[in-house]
Amino acid sequence: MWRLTWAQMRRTGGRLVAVGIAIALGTGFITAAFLGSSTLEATALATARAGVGDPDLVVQTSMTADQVDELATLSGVAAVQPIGFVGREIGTGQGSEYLLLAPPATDDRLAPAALTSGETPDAPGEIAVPGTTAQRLGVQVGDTVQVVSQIWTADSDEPTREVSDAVVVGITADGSGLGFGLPLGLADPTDVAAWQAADGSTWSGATLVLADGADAAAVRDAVAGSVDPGATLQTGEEYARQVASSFTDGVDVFRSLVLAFAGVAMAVAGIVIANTFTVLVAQRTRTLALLRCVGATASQVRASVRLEALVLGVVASIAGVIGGIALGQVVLTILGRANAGVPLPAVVPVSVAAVVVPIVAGVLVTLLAAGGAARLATRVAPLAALRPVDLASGARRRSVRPAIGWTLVGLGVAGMAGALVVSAGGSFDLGLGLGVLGGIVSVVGLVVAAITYVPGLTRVLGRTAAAIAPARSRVPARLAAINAARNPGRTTSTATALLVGVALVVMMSTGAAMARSALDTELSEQFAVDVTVSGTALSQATIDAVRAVDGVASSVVMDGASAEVTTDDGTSTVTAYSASDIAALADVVATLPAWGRGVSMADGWVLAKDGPLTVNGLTTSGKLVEGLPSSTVLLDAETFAYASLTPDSRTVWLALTPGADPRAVANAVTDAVSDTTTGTAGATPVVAGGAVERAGYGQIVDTMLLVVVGLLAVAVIIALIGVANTLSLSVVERRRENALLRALGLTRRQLRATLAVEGVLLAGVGALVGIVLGVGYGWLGSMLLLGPTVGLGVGDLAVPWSTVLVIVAVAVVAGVLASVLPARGATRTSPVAALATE
Amino acid sequence: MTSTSPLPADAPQPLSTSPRADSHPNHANHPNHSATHADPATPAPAVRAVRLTKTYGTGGAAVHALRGVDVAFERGAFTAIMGASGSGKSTLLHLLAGLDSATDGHVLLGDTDLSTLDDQALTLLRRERVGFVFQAFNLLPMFTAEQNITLPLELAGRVGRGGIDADTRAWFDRLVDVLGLRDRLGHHPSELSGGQQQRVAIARALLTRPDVVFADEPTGNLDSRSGAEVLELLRTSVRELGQTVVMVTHDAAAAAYADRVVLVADGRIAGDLNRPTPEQVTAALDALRTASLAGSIVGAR
Ligand SMILES: Nc1ncnc2c1ncn2[C@@H]1O[C@H](COP(=O)(O)OP(=O)(O)OP(=O)(O)O)[C@@H](O)[C@H]1O
Ligand SMILES: [Mg+2]
Repeated sequence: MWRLTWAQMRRTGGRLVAVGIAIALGTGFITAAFLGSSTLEATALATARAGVGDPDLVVQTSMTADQVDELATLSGVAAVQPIGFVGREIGTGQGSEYLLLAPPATDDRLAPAALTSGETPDAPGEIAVPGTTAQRLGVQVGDTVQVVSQIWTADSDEPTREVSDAVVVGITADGSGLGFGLPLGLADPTDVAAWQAADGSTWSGATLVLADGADAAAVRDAVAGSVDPGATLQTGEEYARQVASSFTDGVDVFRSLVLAFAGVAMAVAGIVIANTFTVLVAQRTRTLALLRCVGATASQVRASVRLEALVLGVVASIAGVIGGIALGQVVLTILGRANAGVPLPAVVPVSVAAVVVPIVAGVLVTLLAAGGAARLATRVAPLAALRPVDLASGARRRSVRPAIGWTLVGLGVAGMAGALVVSAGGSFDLGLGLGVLGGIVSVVGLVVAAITYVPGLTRVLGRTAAAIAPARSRVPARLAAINAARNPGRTTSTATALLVGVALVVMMSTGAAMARSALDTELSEQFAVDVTVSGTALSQATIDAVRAVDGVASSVVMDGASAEVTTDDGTSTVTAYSASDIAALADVVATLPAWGRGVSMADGWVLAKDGPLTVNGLTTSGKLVEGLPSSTVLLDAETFAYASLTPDSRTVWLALTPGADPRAVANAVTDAVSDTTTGTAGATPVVAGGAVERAGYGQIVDTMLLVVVGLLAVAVIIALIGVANTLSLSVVERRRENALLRALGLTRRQLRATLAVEGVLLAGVGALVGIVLGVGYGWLGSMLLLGPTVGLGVGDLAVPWSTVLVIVAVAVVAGVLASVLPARGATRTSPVAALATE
Repeated sequence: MTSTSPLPADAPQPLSTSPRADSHPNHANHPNHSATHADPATPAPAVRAVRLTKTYGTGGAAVHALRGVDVAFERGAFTAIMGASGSGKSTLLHLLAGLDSATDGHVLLGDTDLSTLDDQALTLLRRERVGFVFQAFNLLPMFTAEQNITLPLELAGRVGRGGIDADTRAWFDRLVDVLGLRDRLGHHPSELSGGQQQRVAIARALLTRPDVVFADEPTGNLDSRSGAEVLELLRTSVRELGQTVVMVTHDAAAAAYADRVVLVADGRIAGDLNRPTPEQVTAALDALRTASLAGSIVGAR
């Protein structure tokens, strides 16, 4: 039997390559998912190790500096280093930056940050700063920087600013220490202790190195006795793992998500495999029948097909795993070169699961998918060998599958409708759950019932193509339409594989488009002002610079003062602004209503609804303006003065030119601010506002969509391979027909066109149905998911046209590409040669 | 070459035919005898092979399917090509029809030298000037009989939105009636008998009024009655419709329908019979076989 299988495989080897690639892509995907998450874990562990150094023992509890020092006196303890850092603003003539600082370690194994140049600070007033900070602030070893402490005291609302000088004695490596990737500087222990005392903060623990030959258990006991009874004692390794796991909580979610997408890819590969094997068995009908004639049993025939699937599955899965590992290594190497600032492993950590799971999955899917074909093979009657070449396409078998499919669709749709009702009634979670369940059930139903609508759609599409084609191309178009509809089962499963992938991609895109438009509406209500720049010392230079930024349409400058306001709801402290130029303000704040004398404008935090508003004892009639920065009250200049408010800050509000990229403008504004802000004369002006916020949220949605679509793209690619495969198998089957057509005067170009149109039809049907379903599900899903929170309604359908167009274009191009290889074979064969082969 | 004689004067005499030709002068296929056709007034032949050579493979594995064949087929005549299996009949037919390219020599269809044409031109020539009937697999299974018949017109883009033009329509109707396919037009090939399928193929071959219709064992798969029907139709198309038909056959009875029988042996023209009876054809074939047997025995010694 093995010899027979092998011979069959060799004959059809080329045709199995495409399926092999489909399987390999799926298994490679799974491997990559495992490698990705284990690399993340390894990176997290490495980062954690780098962060804590290499301690023997770690104590975690709140500790004062004295308590830390006390540990050092215990016998068997060689060195102690506190865990934690203090934050200080570091300023130079070029700007200022908030920096985390730790005392240097007495033992290298506990070093919080590695020095790249200079020395360790060991006298008060000495400091070491990270390389990137030094670059940004323009300091070198030997320069002096200002260290700003803002000290909060109980009896004042305002911090007091204390500025001291420090000399930079060293530069630390970025992300090399306790800060877990944050830039961490070093300062003299005495200074650190003083700052800590001023802040009233404590250390969160200590790391210890034991003396050579010390009894670890004894030291552990001694340490336990010395510190708070609730303290956690761990070895260095345990501690690193614990820290790492706090980063990697998300990794499991990531892995599950990626594996779910890999599952989709494998399912699509399964459809492609099932289709290919069915076609192969159909093409081998005569061989199989001959085998049966000479005495092969049905089970031998079945075993032969299964064996073939097994060999294919094993070979392709292994290839996929190897490919996945290689890809992972390449990505890792590139990332390593890019120096992302995190300690990446040099070689991908290949776990057993990363190899075993994909291979088992690949082989199982292949075997399962080929199961139907194996059963089909046993149905080949020995007599089939004696019949002349089959002209008829074979009697159509009645099947219960469509009925089951439509039942599932009905159930699923009912579930989703119920979900909408339930969700509208207020039970969000129940609605969502019901919706997801209904969605899955109906999709499965649609896939199962695909045979009832895909062939019909293919015919309609094909007829349309033939009708619009010019007279000379009408034959290719018609032939293609007929050929595409000839094997309804084959066409259906090919299109279905693509349908699933496309539907998922479009669903995600629709959801994202709807989420974006909902977010935009929401955000523009929440943030009526595009960009605000405010500060206690906003210089005219800064104001001029930000006004000159490209993409800023209009602006308004206002003085601000801290004010006490009273409303019906109570009293609060707000920033009151003096609107001296109301016209300019109205240009910037779109939501600003008409403004009369003695009226103040307030945001939703200050004022729940229009009503009296008392500012510093002066009562005005307050109006609620949606989207003002929170805790803001706008007063006309006269009222501002009348309320005897003294300006203590300034702000400039900017409105962007419509169509300007908010991110770019916001970045340019930020740059303009830092370029024009010098020294530590005051706090750096703060850049905020709706534009940045909107762009930020939009980008989060876009990035998530990109990642998800990228993952789903694998399934789409596998399905497109399926299209190419089906097409080439069909061409092999139609060798004689094509030869006859060529003999009768079908030109090479017409034959190529025929196959191209057929490819486009196959891919197009899958894509079109997928798009329609995707838009539908995306719409429904967003209503269920976002409806209750942002009030997304039935009419808020946002079709992601660009995605739809891209998918249609991809389908057309892929259909044409899929036809290239088969067409080459078909057009190269001379009509005689093809007619001669049996 | 204006002579219609299949053998030019300088060609080697076919070994096989000479003894028989002498003993049966009536049935003789002597070049001189057939030279009576070489009337200068005879119009140019429909298709003609000149020193046509076809070699498959190279070196030791080379098969010389045709070794310099010179033959011409008159317009409006029904010619049968006969010979032993493997003698090169199909190869000759394929080359004459522009389905394959020659290793050497020329095929002239009217004034067109096929060896100068590229694939595109050859395809268009097949579409417009040549018709075929094969032994089997003549029809596309997904089309009805009518669609199969009009396929060459469709390929040429000659079927407009309102169907084919009136002139072609009339010709189509006549063909369909002559071939008795009227009530079978809507059927698919799988619903037709072998004979009906061959008749559909003949209708298709004739619809474009090609210069020549080539048929490779068109009756090979048919019972004798259906075969006779098909042959009768081919003859009718020649007699009544003025077609030129070149047919390969193994069947002496089939060959007897033809105006002329060309014998092929071992890649060469080995004889030429005019309006032979089945017995004459059989006799000539026997002679060929005996001669080649003798030749091989002599060769073996
Ligand atoms: N594609 C090919 N490659 C190699 N040799 C070939 C090829 N086609 C035909 N031949 C050889 O050329 C010779 C002539 O073949 P051809 O098919 O013309 O014979 P035929 O006279 O039609 O025979 P039959 O009566 O059996 O159909 C044979 O020896 C055959 O083996
Ligand atoms: Mg032959």
